[in-house]
Amino acid sequence: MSGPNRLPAPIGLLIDRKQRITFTFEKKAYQGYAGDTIASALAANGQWLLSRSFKYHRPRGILTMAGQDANTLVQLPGEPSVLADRERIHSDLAVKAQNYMGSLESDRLAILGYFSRFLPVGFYYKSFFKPRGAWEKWAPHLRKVAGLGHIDVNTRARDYDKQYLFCDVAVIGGGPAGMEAALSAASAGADVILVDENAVLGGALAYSRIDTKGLLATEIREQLVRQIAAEPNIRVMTLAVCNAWFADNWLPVIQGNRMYKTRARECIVCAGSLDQPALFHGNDWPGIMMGSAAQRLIKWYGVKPGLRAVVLTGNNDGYAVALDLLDAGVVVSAVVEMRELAPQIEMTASLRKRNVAIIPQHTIYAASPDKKKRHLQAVELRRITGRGQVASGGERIECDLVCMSAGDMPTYQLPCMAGAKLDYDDLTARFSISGLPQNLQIAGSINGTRHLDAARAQGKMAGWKAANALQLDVGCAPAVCIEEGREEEINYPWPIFPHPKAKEFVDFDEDLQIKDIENACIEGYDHVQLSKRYSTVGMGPSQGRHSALTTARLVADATGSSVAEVGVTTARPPFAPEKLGHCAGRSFFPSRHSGIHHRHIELGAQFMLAGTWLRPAYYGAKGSRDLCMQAEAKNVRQNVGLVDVSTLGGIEIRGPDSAEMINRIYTWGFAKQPVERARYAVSCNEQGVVIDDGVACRFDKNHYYVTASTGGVDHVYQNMLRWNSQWRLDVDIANVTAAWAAVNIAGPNARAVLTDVCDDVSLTAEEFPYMGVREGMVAGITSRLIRVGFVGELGYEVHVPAHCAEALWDALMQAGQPYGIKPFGIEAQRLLRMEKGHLIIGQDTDAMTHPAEVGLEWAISQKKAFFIGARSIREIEKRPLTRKLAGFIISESESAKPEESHLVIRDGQISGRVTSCYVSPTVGQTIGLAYVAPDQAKIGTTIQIRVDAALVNAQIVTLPFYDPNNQRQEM
Amino acid sequence: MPPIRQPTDFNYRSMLYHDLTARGGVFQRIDNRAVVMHYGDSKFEYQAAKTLAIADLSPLSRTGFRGPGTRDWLSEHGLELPDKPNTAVAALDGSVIAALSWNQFLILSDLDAKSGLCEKLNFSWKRRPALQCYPLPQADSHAWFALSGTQSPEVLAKVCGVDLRLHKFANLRLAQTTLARVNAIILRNDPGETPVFSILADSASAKYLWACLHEAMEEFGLNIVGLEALRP
Repeated sequence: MSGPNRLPAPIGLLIDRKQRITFTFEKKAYQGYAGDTIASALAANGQWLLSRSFKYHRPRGILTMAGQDANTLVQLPGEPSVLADRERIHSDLAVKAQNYMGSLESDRLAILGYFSRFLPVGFYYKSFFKPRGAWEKWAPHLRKVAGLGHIDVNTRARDYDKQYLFCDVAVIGGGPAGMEAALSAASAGADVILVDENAVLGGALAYSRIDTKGLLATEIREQLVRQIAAEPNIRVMTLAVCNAWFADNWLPVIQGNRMYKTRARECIVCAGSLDQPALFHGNDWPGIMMGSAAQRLIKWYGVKPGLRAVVLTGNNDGYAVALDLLDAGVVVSAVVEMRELAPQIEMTASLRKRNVAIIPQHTIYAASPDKKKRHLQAVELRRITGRGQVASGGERIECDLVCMSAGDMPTYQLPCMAGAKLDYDDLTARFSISGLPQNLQIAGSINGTRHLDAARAQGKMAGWKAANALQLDVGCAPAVCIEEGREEEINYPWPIFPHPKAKEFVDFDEDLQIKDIENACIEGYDHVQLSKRYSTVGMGPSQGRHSALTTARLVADATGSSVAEVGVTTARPPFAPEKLGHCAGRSFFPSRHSGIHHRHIELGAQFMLAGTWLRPAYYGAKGSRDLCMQAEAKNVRQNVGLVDVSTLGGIEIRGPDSAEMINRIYTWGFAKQPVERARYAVSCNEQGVVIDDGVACRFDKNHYYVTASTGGVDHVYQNMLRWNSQWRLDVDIANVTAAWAAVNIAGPNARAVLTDVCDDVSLTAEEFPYMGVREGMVAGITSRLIRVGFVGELGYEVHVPAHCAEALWDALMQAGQPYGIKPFGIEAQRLLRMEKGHLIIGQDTDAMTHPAEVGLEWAISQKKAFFIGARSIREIEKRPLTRKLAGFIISESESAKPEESHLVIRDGQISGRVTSCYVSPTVGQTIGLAYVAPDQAKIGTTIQIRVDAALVNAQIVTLPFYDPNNQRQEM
Repeated sequence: MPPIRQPTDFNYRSMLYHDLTARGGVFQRIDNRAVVMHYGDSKFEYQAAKTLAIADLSPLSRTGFRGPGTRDWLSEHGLELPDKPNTAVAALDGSVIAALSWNQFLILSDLDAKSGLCEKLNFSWKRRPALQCYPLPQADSHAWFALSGTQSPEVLAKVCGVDLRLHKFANLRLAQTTLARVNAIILRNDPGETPVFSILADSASAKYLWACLHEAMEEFGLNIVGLEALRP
């Protein structure tokens, strides 16, 4: 035995008595069995006190044994607020209680309960915000005593995962209706997933009592489970929670550390219903629980829920609970029946035969604790004299267990997330669900039936309908079982008995009492949504599962409305607590590598992200950026350098209208561009804003290969497709960025190196001039050669098929050895182009930049009738400039170097900003580009740039800083 | 038995060859490229491929053509073409012709690389470019992986939102989708009884995607196999 309350075998469906497990709670060791939850193992050992309540620090114990309440929230190492009635024990588990000061048994903050009359609803709003500034003083103290559990910031991150799951039919809830629905759909050939939050299928069949002898539930459950196991079309997912319903039956099903992103063509929710508490003074003492909680303790875990019990009931369920208690050896002192008469059913007779007193038209009016105020000791019964009213005197009964069966509420959350409505029927005192969307059904007790045969029939029918909607071979529709007006389907309408000393809890999470809801209404918060926000009812961890029905009744009563009119607050995902880890799950961060990536690693590159590409920033030790960048740049100027430009965008435009396409997309004239020539190409959007640049290479009359910036190519490509969907030009547009790798070999020795590995293209200045393009073989690789000068030196871009990039790199590096070839990274490339005064779109431009602001007027055709942005640019050109990009030099060597986005200041006002700035080894000074006011752009003007707190003087100079006559790049 | 070769013996190199070499891949020459045939235990790999295994097929040839004249041009070459998009046909020589749209086709080499279909088509187009039919550089724009075995759909479900279960996603169907946030073509082309999904995705993302698939496979057992294991 693992504890004095453990019942003998074979009772306990979920526990494995062969495996004993030792764990600790509040540093005291306990033993349980494999399959036990923390709460069941503690209950077996007589530890009923699990936590302290949120506001008054009242002792709390088991309420539902179904993970549907906040009473069982405990602290685990590294994880706060874990449901003790769902979390399974394992060896060395160290559990602590939450929300107490001192000890769980003697919580010093329990004193707050004595001041409850001074802590009315809305107390925080009223008390701590006045006078102004008071909140700052109160907040630290309140925060110390508020909240549940502690977050351990040193906890090691755990692995969470996500996976897609597909099915024809998802059945949520593995009770009798759910199992029948799954079987019905699967037998017609549907692919079914059956999701249940418990460890075994069966729903209520696994713990409740249907017949007087108490055998039928087990028989039916086992029979259905066998049928499901034999059905290959059903995938059973136990210990899995469907946490929401999203459009088109997108269902996040959480099982363990994985979220299954489930797509179901049809969905059937058979999530059952939830027992609701009765409201009487002290209805929260440990020992007071739902009838179904006691049954779960007995049937699932083999735990005796108490020694002497009183069953409070307003429906027939209480009689089954009483019989289960008797069978478990609990003395049932009385069945307190709130209805006028006990039902004429077999169970009533059986209880009477077993000498159980059945007391009709009575209620528990008050419950009182033992001397230590930790557990229930007795209840006071009173005769019910009217709705919520009781006689003046009553009877006291000693007991350590009260089981409540006051009514139930459909588990409406998933259907309501799907847009269903809740309607209240005054006759049955129940909410019902209507207005379901297409492809979503409900069956079983969620759909209002409490009778097993009807629930099964509903399940069968739902499965049939789902299969029929899937156009499967379903045969005839199953028989319909109409079970309306059954006595067991009527809730006791008003199990609410106010007490002068209050403490009749509506919401156990937030310690809200009847008067709190009433006062919220009196104070004007008389809509259920307002009452919720003001009083916080339903806002705790259990999200109104046990308070929504009572709140609706109380608000209706206070406002003179019907319960149907009041309704309940909006159900939103998630249904059950969901960890951030589940939402994060497996994360994907795509990264792209050029075919030369490994060579860069071997050469000691430090990488930087350019979009999703990993590019070498510089080659050398981490932290040596400036030195490496300048050395690499110097080598390009003096010898020859090689840079990987595979990330450059590449777009092929082929077809009879390719020149027309280019002419419309780019701002310059391309119609007469000769074959084997490249042209600088600027593209603008309709507003005339510069969005990208590159070179347009014409390899054939009907074939252009256009480069685009690394970050801009996808946008440029999409733009081309979008425009051509209107223009319908006869072209094919292909984004071939990944297909073509490229290097830029640049420097005075570039031609010599390339000549060594390229023998079918003449590389002389005359035969292959600046801005020429050729096709040929480089190192035996089919290549496209483009003579460009981005870095301001003699240079060739060599574009090759991506999988040949490394071979090309190897060949060029080898051929370049005698010429002092060295790789250079992006940083050096940026410095070099800066010296040459070339722009980087996106760095030196922004979302407002038009061509004239950055000196690109020359790239705008004045002759073309149309190109994208033409009209806007021409309008903009009529207006005076408001800013201008200008080059600057900082002559004072001791001045701090400005960084990008540092501000240009004039007379204390911002007149521009720096876009690029480098220390140039070639120029020997700090150089940069900055937007300045148009009058400041005049050559020789001194501007001031704010660097940290100081103002640095800079002189505006003519661009470029290097080789103004282009002799180097055109050599 | 062809001699063992190194990837660096050739200009065309898989984006993953460094990783494959480090894992002990044994390469052989196919069409001027080095392909991993196995990693030292062919028998084990053959068995693993029935359940779950991944292979890099990037060195095998593949090509693509697109444009309104493509269907006619390919038909002129005597090829049977899929009659609707997102389906494929397997030629008798083992090569596969997949329709990405009505006017766009992807052609994959057979696993023995004997058919030479891709090379023939590329050569034919170069010799005489067809009207409104444009070649696409699929051999370089896309890496080619094969995910083999009955557990493949479970692995793919961790990285892809398309229902690829074997009974729902028939042989010679394809999906143009995203895999771990990277655009990809997933084509089921079972060479024999074992289900095999060909994954063609951005070659620049090959390293990333290779690692993602490995991670997704780990819970089932990560088996990296050579080309031999996939041959029926």
